[in-house]
Amino acid sequence: MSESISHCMLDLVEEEYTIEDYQSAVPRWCVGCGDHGVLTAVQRLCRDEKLPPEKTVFVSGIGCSSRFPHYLKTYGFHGLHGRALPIAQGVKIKRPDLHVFVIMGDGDCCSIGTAHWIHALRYNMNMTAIVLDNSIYGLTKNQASPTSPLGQVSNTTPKGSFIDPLNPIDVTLGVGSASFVAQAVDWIPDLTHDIIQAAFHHRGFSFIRVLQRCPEFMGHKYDDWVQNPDRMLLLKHENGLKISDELGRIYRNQEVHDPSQRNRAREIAAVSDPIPVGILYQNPDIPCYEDHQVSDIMNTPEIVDTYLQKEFDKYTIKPPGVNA
Amino acid sequence: MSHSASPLASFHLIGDRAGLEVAQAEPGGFRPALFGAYHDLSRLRTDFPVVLVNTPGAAAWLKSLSDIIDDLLQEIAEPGVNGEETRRQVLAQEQTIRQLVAGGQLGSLSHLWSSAQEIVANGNDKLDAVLNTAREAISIDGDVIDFDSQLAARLVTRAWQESESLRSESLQSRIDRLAQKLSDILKVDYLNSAAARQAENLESAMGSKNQSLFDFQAMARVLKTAPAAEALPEMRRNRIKSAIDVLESQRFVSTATSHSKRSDPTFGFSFTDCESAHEAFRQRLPDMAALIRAISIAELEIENHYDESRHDRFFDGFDEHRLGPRDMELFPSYLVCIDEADLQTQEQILQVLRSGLPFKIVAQTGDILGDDSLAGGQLTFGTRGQQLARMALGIDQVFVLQAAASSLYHMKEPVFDGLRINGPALFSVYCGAGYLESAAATESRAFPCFVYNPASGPDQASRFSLAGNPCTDQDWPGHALNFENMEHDYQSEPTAFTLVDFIAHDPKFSERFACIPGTDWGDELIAASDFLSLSGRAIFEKVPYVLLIDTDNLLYRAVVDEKLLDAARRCLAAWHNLQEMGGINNSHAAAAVAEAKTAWEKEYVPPPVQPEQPVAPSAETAAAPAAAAPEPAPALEEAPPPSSDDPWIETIRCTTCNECTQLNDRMFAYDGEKRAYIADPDAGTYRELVEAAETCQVAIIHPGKPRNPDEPGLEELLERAAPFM
Repeated sequence: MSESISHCMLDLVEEEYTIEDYQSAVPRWCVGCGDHGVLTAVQRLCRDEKLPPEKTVFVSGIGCSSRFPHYLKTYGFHGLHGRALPIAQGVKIKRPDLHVFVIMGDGDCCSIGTAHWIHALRYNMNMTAIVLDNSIYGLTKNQASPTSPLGQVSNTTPKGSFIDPLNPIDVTLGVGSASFVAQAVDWIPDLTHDIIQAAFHHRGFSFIRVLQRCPEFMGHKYDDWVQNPDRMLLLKHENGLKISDELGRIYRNQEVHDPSQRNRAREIAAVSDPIPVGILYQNPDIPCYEDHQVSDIMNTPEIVDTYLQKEFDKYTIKPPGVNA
Repeated sequence: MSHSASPLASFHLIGDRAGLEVAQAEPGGFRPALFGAYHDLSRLRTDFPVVLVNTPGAAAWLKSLSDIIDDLLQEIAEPGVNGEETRRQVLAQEQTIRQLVAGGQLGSLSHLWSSAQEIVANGNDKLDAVLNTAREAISIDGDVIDFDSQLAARLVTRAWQESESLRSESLQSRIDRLAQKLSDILKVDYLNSAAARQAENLESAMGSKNQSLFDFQAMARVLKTAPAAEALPEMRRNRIKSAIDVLESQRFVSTATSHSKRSDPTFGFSFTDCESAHEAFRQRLPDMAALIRAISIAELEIENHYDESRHDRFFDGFDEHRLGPRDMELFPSYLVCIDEADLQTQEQILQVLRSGLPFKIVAQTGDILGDDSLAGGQLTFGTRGQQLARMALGIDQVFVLQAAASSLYHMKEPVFDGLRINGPALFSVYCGAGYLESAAATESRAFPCFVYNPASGPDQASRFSLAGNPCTDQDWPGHALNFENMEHDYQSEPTAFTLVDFIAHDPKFSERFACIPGTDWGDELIAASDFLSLSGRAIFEKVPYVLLIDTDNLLYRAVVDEKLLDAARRCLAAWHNLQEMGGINNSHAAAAVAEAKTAWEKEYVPPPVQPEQPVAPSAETAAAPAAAAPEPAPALEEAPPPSSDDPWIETIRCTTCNECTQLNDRMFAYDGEKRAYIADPDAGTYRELVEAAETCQVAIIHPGKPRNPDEPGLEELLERAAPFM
């Protein structure tokens, strides 16, 4: 069949991508910033999944995190503060064939972008959202964010913050149709890569929170956890993450957690010491919004014209000079 | 022996009527006794007339008038006594419609309904109201056709239109989409070009209102400074243009794009003979190849996967020789309706079916019995009609359906299946003089129903079906004949309807029957169906008969000529063959069962009575291995460094944070996964190693022992390096 002719043609041509194919500018993040590790993990994913750069889009808001699209040689959209998700959803509706990734920071997602975050979870459109959570507003130089710990001294909280931080994965699990919730940390890059890979393969809205260091303003927040591997809780399961032997030797605090168990996921998410790493919840059966929306009719100019005229026909236009 | 025996035998064996006192009747005066109940078909509710539904969105493409009326009565008439009046009135309406159709009136259901309503209601307002309610309950409309020689062709054509619309819909939308996307590419290329940024083009793109508000010259000047996108390479543009041309000018299906642009009509796919159909197919092959080629190029171009160095060669050489069966599936199939399939036409039909191409052939035949005399050069009396379909079965990948036209309504599902599959299909139909004769052909095994669908499974059991034949497990269908005997008592005799009975209805063969009135029936007379199972001496002692009735419904036993029994034997053998294919009395299956039975009987030994065994100690032995499961991963300590003196990095845990590489990019480098490793331990100082170890955020750098003993400050550095050893 002709379909198989063009597919045969494609199979004859083996496309191989390298990490360099996805590298654009040299990142201007600080040395030691956790963003580098996530960028590497994402580039490895693109290479391993052979994502054509012209079919991949990274959408971001504002912040250090949101410099992400500049450093990838794919399509990108560096959008407005807090509006990464609606832009990404618009891309997905119009071009459901593209691979959409959304990169936000803790301020972008959990502060100004909170409303979009909740509804993006409800709509469950097929994309991967990564929140680079360093618990501070970094680009704007040291203001407290919704995930900053109690007592954090910053420019906006000179006497230390006195409001409890919110826990993004806890909040996400509270939204009924959230279909993939995971947490990663920037100092275990292998798991970060595996989690992002699982999120990419999940059909639905995949939400990953990456706990990361800001070397400039929050340099030592996670020192204890980095130096004491037992203060990390690795979640593994045959339907979730698999821990390699080498990693397992270092991080011995592991729990077998079935990602389909939402209540247990909530219990795990509520605890911040030990820090849980892994896939907390995954449900592949929740339908995606674009599956209901996309119609078979092609949007030709003629069709658009027809429907527009039909809408206009509902109103009468009074010629100028005629009174009501 | 009574003296009338030898004249009977001599008539039976050699057709000699001398000495026989037979009842004479005009030709056509005698008919099979079992036809007695069916002398007035107009008072029966058969499957016909049928409605070829043409209401868009209707669930069925074919519905019989009886079914429509039954459905609507379910809806509007209350069950029980209350609805009785409505039922009677609507059924009278149905009867009127039947009479109109039988009288030759044609038209759509709604038209006929109105005509019939005028006759039935005849001014009675209440009746009018009831019939109007009934009319509203019918949601479909279409042409009404009755049982006639055109029935099979019209029915299959309607089904074919339905199945083709499904098939061509997908091709249509595919072509539309590809043409649209390709035009989009050209449009974007145009918009990016310098020509589109000229002031005149900008002005015309704006539309007619508010043009005075804009300074298009200024706009054009601004756009001049915008980065110019690369124009499409000439070869690519030409390729896309020619693909669009082919897609828009194709004549296989009518698409939205072709509607507005093209003047040539789409190809026709309905023919009345095989030659022209096959010729048309051959002529269109280049167009088919061109379309497949254009579609493939379009799909590659849209994804921007067309690679000239690889694909040009292939597509340049692409012509009809490269087309394959999967390509055929895309295109509409060819329908050939043949009114009378004589021997020569049958040859053509088989040739076309052998080709494996998607030809759907309706072959109608009016003479299924053939010639009873060898003088015509054929010894096929009785089975001539079945030959075409039986030969088509031999081609194996052909869908074959054989049925009398009277069965076509309740075989509409298999008919549709045959049209839907990809590949050749044969519908061999017998229409006969009327509904009764047609049904009798199936009943008597002269023209049994069968369906062979190669697409419904891998084996004979799933592909072949005898559904639609009465009493498939018997030689001949049996019926009870009720009649009044010589003593004026009612008697019921089980009677088989054989091929001989079927032949009896045809006046052409009336010479082969000698009707004996009831007064002269003797012992030597035996029913033809029983006679066929006789062998040896018995054949010469008995004379076969079939039961016939005349126009006054008087029952006769008619002695039959041996030729007819020859035909019946031939027909029965063919029927047995079909039964085996259908899995009934299948000799292979029977042999396998017998073999299995003998094997089982040989080995079967009744179990001896044994004393109670103590509970086996297997439980204890099972526990032992389970307890010995060792702890996993015996080597739990940190993997020892390659050599305790060399510096090393736990590369797999590197977070690519650039700390060490910024410090010294010759000593610390990234591997293919962008993870750090010691590229050259001598490319820097021990101080740099220790500093890197201290700033590494995951503490995976191990400085090892200093390589240069003369480096200053080693004591302090070793102290700082201690936690990283």
